[in-house]
Amino acid sequence: MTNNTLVKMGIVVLTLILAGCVPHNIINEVSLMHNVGYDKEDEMLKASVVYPNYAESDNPVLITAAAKNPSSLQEELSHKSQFPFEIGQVRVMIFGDQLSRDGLASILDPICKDPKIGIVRIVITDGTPDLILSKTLNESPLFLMNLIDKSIENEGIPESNSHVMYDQFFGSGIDMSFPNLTVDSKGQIKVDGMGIFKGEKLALRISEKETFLLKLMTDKNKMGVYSFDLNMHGHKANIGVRTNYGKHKVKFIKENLREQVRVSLNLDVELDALPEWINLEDEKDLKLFKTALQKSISNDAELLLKDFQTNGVDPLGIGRVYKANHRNYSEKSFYDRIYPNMTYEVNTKIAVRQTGVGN
Amino acid sequence: MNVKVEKQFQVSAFFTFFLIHSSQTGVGILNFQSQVIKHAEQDAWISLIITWAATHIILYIIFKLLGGGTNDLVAVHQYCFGKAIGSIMSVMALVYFWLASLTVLRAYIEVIQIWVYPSIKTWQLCIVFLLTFYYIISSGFRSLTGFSFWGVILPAFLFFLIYFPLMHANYIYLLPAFSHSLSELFFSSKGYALLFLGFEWILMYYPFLKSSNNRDISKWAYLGNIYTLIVYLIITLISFLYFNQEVLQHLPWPTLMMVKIVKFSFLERFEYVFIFIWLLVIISPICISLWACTRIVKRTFSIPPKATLLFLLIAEMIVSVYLQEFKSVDYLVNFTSNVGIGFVYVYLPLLLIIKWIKNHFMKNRLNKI
Repeated sequence: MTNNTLVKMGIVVLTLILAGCVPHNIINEVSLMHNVGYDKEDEMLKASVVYPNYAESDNPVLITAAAKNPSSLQEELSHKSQFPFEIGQVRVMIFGDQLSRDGLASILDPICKDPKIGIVRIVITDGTPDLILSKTLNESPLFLMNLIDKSIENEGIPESNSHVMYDQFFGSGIDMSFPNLTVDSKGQIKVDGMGIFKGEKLALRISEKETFLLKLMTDKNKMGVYSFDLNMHGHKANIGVRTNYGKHKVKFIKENLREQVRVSLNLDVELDALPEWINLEDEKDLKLFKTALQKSISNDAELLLKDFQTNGVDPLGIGRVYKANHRNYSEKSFYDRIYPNMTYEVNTKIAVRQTGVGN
Repeated sequence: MNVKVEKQFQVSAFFTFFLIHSSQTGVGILNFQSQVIKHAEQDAWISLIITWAATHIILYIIFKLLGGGTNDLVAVHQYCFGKAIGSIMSVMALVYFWLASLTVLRAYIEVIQIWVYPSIKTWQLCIVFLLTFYYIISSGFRSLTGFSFWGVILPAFLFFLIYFPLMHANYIYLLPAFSHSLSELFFSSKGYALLFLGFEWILMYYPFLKSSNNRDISKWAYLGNIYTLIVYLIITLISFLYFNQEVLQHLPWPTLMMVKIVKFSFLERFEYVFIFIWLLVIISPICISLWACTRIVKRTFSIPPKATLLFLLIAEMIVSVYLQEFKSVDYLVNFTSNVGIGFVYVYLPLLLIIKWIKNHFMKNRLNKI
């Protein structure tokens, strides 16, 4: 063997050995948390996690810790468990009511900066996160994530994850909004409406129906069910329609020196349960039904937009649309002068795609 | 004055494409967005095209410098300034080339420390990387070319990843378009200049390119530069469509944040894979610049390249370990980019003018005789 080969071999061996310097995390020796709840209590930040306890027993336990700043919070949590907490696997973050009202910035900022945290779902709750988490103890660790994923995918909740959060938290011309979790009277966890923020503070909660209307006006995905009261041929009924696809467009129109926001919605709906007195085979019935539905959606959406306006929040990102069309945009002057004086008009166009297989 | 390189050490002109492109792409891609949006905001992609055009002109200038009897930087310096001053200028160029390689190395180590292993020491990573680099560079220019070839081909599959952020793209973030003044666009294009630096090492490896004529090499070099433009344009546009401007101001690593959205059922966090694939990309700029350093020393002082290489690598390690705070790494990156912009966009055109003047006088003198 020549001297040269020896040197080369030495380099290879050294490189391999030095690779051992890399710090390691063994799956059995860290505790992976999937859900974290943050709240505020007596001026202290509080975090609660479900500690899975894979190694010893299969009984997950709820651990809570309190600290004055977010960095110590994680350490306080680790003080109470056998293994270091690994935040990299978190899928859902829950913010408690108190924290949402007092302002999320102190928690959101470190979340944005931590490279370990991936794209997570962010939700708020109207109670404490402890309550929600304690209800999930008997479920699988990914129960909450699946629950929220599915609601966003096809049940009328707008997309909400950390990417959307960056967008709304930092971005001008839009306000934050997160889905709301609640525990119903039977003790089951339920996704219920949304919380709309003004700046970093919770300003308004909207109902399930309003949440779906918001989704129609903001998201590409328009899956969900809209229910409305139909009054036709002297009969009355409450009917639910499922929207499958659709498009939305937000436009500004200047009318008599006042800005008007024109939202146009094109929705493809699917009807499956209709009362007997409607016959969609009949051109006239179909037309009447469609106008009633369009009118109902437009009215509800306009009311919702006005509600946002009176509360001074803009989850729709109307400011952003304005910014895109006006070069001398400033966030302050828009929300102080233009936003409160705007008028709204929502135009809905319905295409009835299918009525199920029966007749 | 022409340097002759034996045929068995040369590579064909076609590889100029890979050499140019791979020496331009470094760690800058991971976080350039916050630099370039400072002035031109959503119009920064226009600045990118300005920088590309400037780079194209500089490439043209470089080929003019390398023609007519002087086929590398050391020869040009000696022709223009004479032996003594020419050598000093070559050493200055060497310092810049070394700084460039140091910057890429230190910045990449910082990425690993921030994103993957917060507790790992700088010297540990330094030893691993520098041993590898010693191995690659000491095997000569042909294997370096091989590395830059695979450093372009292998990471090319990362392009498919743009599918994921595109799903969440919003064209409204690019509006209002064309709303910035020319001076703002130029300031932003200075931010892009760092991303294009690296192509100037062709000043040293030019004699190693085999070709029947000059035009063959320049054609591939221009194409390499265009490919760089396309890559940067795609990354710029995707990150502008995926994040709004305010988010880009607040997130220091937008490209990696963008990779976070990539999710496979068997691989949750793609950014970690991405960071280590990036090692393939950064090998070429670090190694080609260090190789160029050793080449300068060999041409001016006739010192064997391996001794220089060892010295330069150890110096790199010492400085990397010495730079501890993130501020000092930032400072290093800014310093290098300023020096590089000065060298490439100011000094090289000046050098060409000096060469022309010199040519003129030489011709006059010849005429008199």
